[in-house]
Amino acid sequence: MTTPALELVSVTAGYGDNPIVREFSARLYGGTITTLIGGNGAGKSTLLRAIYGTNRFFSGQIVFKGETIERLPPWERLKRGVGFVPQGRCNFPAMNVEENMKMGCYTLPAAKHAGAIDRVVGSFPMLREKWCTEAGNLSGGEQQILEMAMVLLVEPSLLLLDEPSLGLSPKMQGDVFTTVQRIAASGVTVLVVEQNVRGALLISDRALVMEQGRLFMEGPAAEVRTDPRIRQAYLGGNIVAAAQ
Amino acid sequence: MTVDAVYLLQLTLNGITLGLLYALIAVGLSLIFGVMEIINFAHGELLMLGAFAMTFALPVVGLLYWPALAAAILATMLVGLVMYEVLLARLRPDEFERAILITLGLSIIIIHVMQYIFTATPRLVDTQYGFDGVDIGAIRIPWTRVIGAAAALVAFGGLYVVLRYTQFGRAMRAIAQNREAALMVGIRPRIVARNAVVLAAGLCGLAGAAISPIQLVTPYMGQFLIFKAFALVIIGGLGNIPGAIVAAVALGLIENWIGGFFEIAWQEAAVFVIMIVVLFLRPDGLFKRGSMRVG
Repeated sequence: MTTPALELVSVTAGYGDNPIVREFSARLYGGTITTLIGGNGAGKSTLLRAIYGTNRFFSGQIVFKGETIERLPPWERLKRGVGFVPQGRCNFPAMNVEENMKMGCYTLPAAKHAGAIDRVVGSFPMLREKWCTEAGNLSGGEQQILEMAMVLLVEPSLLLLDEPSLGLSPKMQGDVFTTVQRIAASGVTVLVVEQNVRGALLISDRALVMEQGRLFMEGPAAEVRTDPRIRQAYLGGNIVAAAQ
Repeated sequence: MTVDAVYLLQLTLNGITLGLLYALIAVGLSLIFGVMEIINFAHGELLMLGAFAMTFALPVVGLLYWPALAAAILATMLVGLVMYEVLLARLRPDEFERAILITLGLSIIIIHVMQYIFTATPRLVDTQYGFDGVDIGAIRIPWTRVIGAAAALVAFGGLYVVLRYTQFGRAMRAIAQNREAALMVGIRPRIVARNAVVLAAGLCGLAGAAISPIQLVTPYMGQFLIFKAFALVIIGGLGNIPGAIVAAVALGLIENWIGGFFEIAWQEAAVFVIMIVVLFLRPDGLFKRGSMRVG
């Protein structure tokens, strides 16, 4: 592992006047999958939003490819290669798949739209089959794939995924995890928040454990998976209680 | 009361023209609502400013209709731009009450400033077409009405193409449908909101300029129009653009029919009676609601 693809230095972020994530520091390395684990309200989504720039940033630094990006608006971060797929259904429900994909090209010059769409649809043939279907009429899993595809159009080098398997059938969850692995294999650094901790750890290289807005533990996914505190926390109880 | 077919035809044609001009206002209101989640209560005043711009531009260009129309549209778009940059840009999407008070206040200020400068005396607008028109049997439809209706139809066609086929317009629908997804794909909400306000102002400018040779121009002409347009947007299914157009044309027809056969006072009351009845029977309006649907 060489220089990190993303470095978080003592990041404090939240909403309004309330910092949720506090002094969080971590490093992500190129082409790896990192899972962010933590209880409800631990600040996982808040951290992802802070990296993309859609909430309030209080202090700290976010270094992406050697550049500090914490004061840039989201569209500038996207142009530099930070992609973010928020939690829940995050597409344009009354537009068909084609129009959603075209919106995904929003920050690209017009001449590159067709090429980008061909490339991404090549990896997700399902999209071609549903080309004229309104996104709101796709299944939950299809919508999740569409949303990842929309962000992949701009070829991000870092992809932030917030609960990609939420609300999906076990089979669709498997498909989404396989897709995430494929994305990482193509060289994209992935930071994923998952409610299916077991499944996410199986596909991840590293894990960050967050509790009450702070980094609680980090390490290779295989180690974190076998840590008794983690095992206990995700079979009931919470990490802080387990630690004591 | 006997219904004269020619009279009915005239009322119908006038109703269609009026309805299409209402639709321009309602569509603009719908656009701004979709992108910014605010109701622009100063929208009727944009129409009034468009009408005044037409009255001032016409003598300058020797009563030529089209150059004056273009000047009026551009002037209204400029007002829209200033209105956005100075006031609306400061609003956040969750500030609905502030938006109502600010735009309502602006509306009242514009009316009174216009009255102070230009007095409340109604102005009659003359164009190169005068009272020339198409003769259908015993009736004559003035060119200014025909052109007004045709210009509105062309504007709707253009708007459809912009919203459906350009990234510029699609971004407006995108924000209306999912704000977070819009950020996800790198849309800059303020730029899109500004574009929507300027575009909506342009539609108002067109409506005002087209209506000025048909109705008297006064500082108050937009005042009640906003409430009618608001009613149309709700009846048409909030955010549904074709819905608003259909509702507007229907209203124009109903108004003219009622005005033609009953006391004129009923004409104004009718729209709101219809709105209340529709909202009791169909709380979400007549057409599918939301998402800035274009078809």
